[in-house]
Amino acid sequence: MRKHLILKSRIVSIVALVSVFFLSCEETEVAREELKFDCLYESLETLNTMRDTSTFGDADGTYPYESAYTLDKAITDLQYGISLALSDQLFLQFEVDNYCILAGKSMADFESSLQITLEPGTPAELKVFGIDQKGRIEFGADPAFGGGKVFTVESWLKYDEGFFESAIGDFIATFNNVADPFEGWMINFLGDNMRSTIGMGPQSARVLEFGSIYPKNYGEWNHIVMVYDETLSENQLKMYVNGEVFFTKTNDIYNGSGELQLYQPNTQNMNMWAFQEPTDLSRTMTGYMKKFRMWDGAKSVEEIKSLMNSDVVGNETGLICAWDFTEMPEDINNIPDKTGKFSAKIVGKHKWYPTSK
Amino acid sequence: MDKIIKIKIILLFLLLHVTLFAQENVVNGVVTDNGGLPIPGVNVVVKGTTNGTITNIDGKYQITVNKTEGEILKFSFIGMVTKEVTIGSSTTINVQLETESFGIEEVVAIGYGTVKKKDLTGSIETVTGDELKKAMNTDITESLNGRISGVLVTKSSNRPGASMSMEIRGKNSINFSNEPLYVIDGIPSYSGMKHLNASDIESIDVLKDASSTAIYGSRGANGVVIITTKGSNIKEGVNTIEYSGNVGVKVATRIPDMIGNMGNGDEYVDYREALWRKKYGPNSLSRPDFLTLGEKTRIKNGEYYDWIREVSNPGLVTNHNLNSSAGFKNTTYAFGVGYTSDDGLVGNEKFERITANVRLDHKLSEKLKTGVTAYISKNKTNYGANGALMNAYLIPPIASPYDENFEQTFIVQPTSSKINPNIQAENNIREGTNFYSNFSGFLEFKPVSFISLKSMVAYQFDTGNYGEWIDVYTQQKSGVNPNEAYRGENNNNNIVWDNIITIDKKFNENNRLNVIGLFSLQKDTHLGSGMRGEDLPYDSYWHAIQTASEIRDVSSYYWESSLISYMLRANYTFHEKYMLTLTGRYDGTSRLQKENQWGFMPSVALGWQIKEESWLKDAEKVSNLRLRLSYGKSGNNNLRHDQTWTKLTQSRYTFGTNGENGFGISNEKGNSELKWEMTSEVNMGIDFGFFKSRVSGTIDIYSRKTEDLILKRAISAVNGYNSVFQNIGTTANKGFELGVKTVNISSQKFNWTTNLTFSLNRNKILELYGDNMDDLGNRWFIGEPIRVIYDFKQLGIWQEEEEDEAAKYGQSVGHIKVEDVNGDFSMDEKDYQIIGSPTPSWTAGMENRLEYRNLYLSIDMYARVGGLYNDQFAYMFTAWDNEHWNKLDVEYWTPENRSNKYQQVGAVSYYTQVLGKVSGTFLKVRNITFGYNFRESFLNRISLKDAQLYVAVQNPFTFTNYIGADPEIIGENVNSQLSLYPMTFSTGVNIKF
Repeated sequence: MRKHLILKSRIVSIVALVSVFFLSCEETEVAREELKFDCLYESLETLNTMRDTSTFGDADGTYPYESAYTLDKAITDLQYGISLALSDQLFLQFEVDNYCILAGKSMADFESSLQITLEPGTPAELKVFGIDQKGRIEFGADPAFGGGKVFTVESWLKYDEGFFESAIGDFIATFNNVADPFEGWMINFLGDNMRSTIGMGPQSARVLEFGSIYPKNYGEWNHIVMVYDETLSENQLKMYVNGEVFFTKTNDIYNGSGELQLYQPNTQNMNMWAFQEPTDLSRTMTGYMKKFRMWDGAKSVEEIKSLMNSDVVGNETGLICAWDFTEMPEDINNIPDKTGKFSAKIVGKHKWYPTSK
Repeated sequence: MDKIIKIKIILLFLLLHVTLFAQENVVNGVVTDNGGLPIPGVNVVVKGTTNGTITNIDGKYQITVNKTEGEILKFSFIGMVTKEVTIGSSTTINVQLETESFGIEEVVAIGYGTVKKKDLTGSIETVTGDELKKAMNTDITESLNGRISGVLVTKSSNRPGASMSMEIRGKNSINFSNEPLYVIDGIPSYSGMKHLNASDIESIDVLKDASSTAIYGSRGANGVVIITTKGSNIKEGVNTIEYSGNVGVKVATRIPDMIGNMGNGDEYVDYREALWRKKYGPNSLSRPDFLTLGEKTRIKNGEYYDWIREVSNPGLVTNHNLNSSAGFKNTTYAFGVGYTSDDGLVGNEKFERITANVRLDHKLSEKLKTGVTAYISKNKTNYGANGALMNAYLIPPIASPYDENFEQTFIVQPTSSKINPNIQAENNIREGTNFYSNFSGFLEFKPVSFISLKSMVAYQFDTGNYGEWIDVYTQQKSGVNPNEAYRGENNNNNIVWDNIITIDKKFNENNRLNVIGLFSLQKDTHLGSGMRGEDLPYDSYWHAIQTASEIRDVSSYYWESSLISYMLRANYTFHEKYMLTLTGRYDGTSRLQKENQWGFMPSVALGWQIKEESWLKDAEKVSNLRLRLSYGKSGNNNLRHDQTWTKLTQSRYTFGTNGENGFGISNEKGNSELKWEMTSEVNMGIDFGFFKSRVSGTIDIYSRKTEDLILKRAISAVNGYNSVFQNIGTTANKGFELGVKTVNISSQKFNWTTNLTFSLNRNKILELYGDNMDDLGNRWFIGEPIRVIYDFKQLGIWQEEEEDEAAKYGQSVGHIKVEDVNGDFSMDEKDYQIIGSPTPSWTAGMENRLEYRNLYLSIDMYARVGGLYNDQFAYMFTAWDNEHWNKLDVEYWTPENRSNKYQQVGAVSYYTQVLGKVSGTFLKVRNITFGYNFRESFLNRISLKDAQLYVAVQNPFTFTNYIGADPEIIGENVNSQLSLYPMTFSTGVNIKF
């Protein structure tokens, strides 16, 4: 009997030890911090102030009446969020923050709805609200936009903090990742980087892609150039920012047999859009575009520096297309390019802000 | 209480009485060595009992026995040959023990014959069938790692039935296989050893140096593995039936630590938030796909899933073998059947094998002998689904495998494309069935005692079929695309006719000559086919492809090759001290053009049995000392059968509705002048034994050069071709090998022995195209190993104080910092450098065996040190920052935790490929076995010759910095091979009747 008791106590001890061991193996759960609601109240106060102090009407300098309704809805949504927070229905801080972010977006939307009427030809700068797929520039569809073995894309871009928030922040692209192989090119943002991405083939689903940390000079214009030159043995893909080399990248895309893959121009939808990728519509960004040019040929750094400070008339050798978004157009659905061959249109939410020439 | 004491006293007296009575039967004597000197400490045991004693300082012993006549006394002492003496009428038994020269009396297979190890001149190592059984590996190939120096077996995966490759003394060929030649009961093959059952193996002899492998001529350059099945050495009157079996449970060990696993999902939520904030900005958290409603609900409820543990299940491993053999006056036979089943840890992964072998030898007369052997093996492998385990790694703990009815659901994460791995494991089936057979028959005629004429015909046949079923509800078909089935078959035939003359003659007492002559013909044929069907009307797997809406990828092939060989080998031994081996093989192959298809591969080897010299013969501390020196040449016949041809290539041209086949000249020009890649090697070895063989072993050093490598050389397109194969490169391997056996403790009750192997090989490209130029495209560099890792070198992570410096490279704080070799602030291929080679610097194996009375404990360890490997797993699960997937829980850089290895989460750092370059260093305790050998007295009572019971655990401990599961399989294909690391607990029994 005593032996049994000893045996039993030993078994119990072993089980206890094993349990302690395994329990100690369980990782300690992360202790959640108490939620902070400050931004909810601050946002509510700001929205209410906007609602109470803004002038609504049809005239320039006022906000349209529908903006008032939008503001009311934002206030209601935020109040609902506060209710959820106070009734312990929000569990993670980001859920609280989301209500503040939505409120912030509503404020920005409201601010941008301030009515300004510009006469065609008025010096202005264009902001396109690509985030949430609200707006984009469509340059049309043409095989020439796909580029060939050698091409250059050149543009002026300005953005503010938080200018992209989707998977990839697309600036301008013909890229088509539904095609097999991937086709087209794209200038885009991801993480800390501004990148160039080009579809490679004939192997399926390959890209040559590289980037570098994007300029953080928010609110200032940057001259951005992407050059692809297949005839080179190295550094076929390059980017320049404000006339300086941003990065160079040698084509290192090989298939399983060791065959070098080559750039595949967009041969299917042939669309070229800015602020939203023409195939994957979730890739968007919000920003300003001043000028945009595409060249058949590889521009050298000297040429790029020269182009940065000069205009084109449309008949330059190798110029595929060129748009200047520097003044209010006659018709946003028909903005002719300087070569006279193409026409762009602005789709969705955008705004022209007056500038001095 | 008093009563009990009284009974005990009475019993003690009774026992004493019996003892006193037995003392009348006393046997005594003296135990001496060869020189007549007494040996103290010799174990003297009455066989079949535990009754024993040891000799005293004068070598004298005295033992009492129950009856004097008929009992057997067993005398054993370390370093001496155990002797058994039957007690006769005399009660004094003096015994002289012979010195045991460890291993040197063993017989070693050397190809087309055997030789005593003491007469060996080449570098050959042996592993016995018993050792292979103890290793408990399903594929015996794996068991050679750490047991034979110079051998490196690489596993492709830990999935059951996964393929393995073997290299002996490094890589020789750049373009062609470095797999050795396998010779199973005399039949050459390249089919490996997966189909063999350890219980059927008598021994495996690995021929390493060129003088040994030269006997296989054009197929010997990569080494030769000679497998001898059981039954080759049965003595008359010895009948045995043996059963061995074990059953075990396999569980996953060292499961990689993913973020938020083991129920700690909050950790993953924090990670995801940090990822999104950094990658897309704080506003991105308001996106509906940041966390779905279901995910948020689970987070609130603390409902987290550890996906790897969700998909893994314990597996059952079982192995049963029955072997029988008997020796009669004129006939011997051996027969064996075996069954092995090895479950995987994920889904339906499984390997099953059934084997049968028969060997029958019959002496027709004193001069004529005949025999047949047959080995048949069938195995079936369920390779497991593609991508199931990968999905389990990728899917985060906040996703649930269940729907509202608690049924497994296909889409577990609407925001990503990864589907439920449990469903993937069910619906993507990949199965292979293989059948191997070896048959041989011989007739041997001995016209005189020293001449033998033997003719052997052998036929090897193996066939395999592979099928894959990809259901609609799989990762590949996304639940919407039509199902798909693939079926492929292959069939390999190999017929060999060997005619061997052996002359074995001793003359003038001190001269012995052994000559073997061979004329051999071999022909192998290979055929196969494959097809793929899409959109099949019902779940017919790959058995009704004709019902598919579309049939494509239809292919078939046939090729054959043949080899004619003449070989002569002469072994001459003088005074049992000096040995000379000359070998020459002349091979002709159909794989080369007429002008170059014949090649002569000679070798010479010398042996010096130093211990037999008069000045060392009496040295007590040296029990064996032998020097070996050899040089030889052998070839690599692993080139393609059509390597010399300029071929037409098929193209499909768009024409009409279906298109038309067309043919054009290949871009690759054939080269009729190609000849074999030829390996020459110098080997020097020392076999030693000290302190009555308590320390014994072998040391080998070698230098090997492979010339005339067949390399693809680019040529100008104006020739009409882009490339041509030429014999132009040279590689070299140099190495050191050590094998040591020690008897650390030897006493009557306790023994401790250790086996140790050590291998070191340095591989180098000496020349490529004759212009002393590297081949950057293929990553071949003169003076470097054949395989190197040529990439950026990670210096660390950019830290906050380096922000300005990082910006010069377009990098941010928290990004991966790599070395700017040329200092141009632009990181490109010009900054690549050789940062390592995916081969170990050295490997070692050690087995310790401790015996106490009838109990034993064996501990088997294996280490690989050095080597840098490219590992897709480590790369994928640390570098990828997919917004919806999971990754490994390692020290990612944060401002607070300034990791210098892993980048900041969501920073989209470049050069992340450096994270996939991982060290291959590890030490594994591969096997711990604890067993009990039943006492002879007990066995005698139940009429057994031997019985053993054991429990074992495989892979109990692994010491490594590798962040994946098993450091031995670094580099496995994450889609088709990714596996968990098994730890197996087994129990087994061996019974011999």
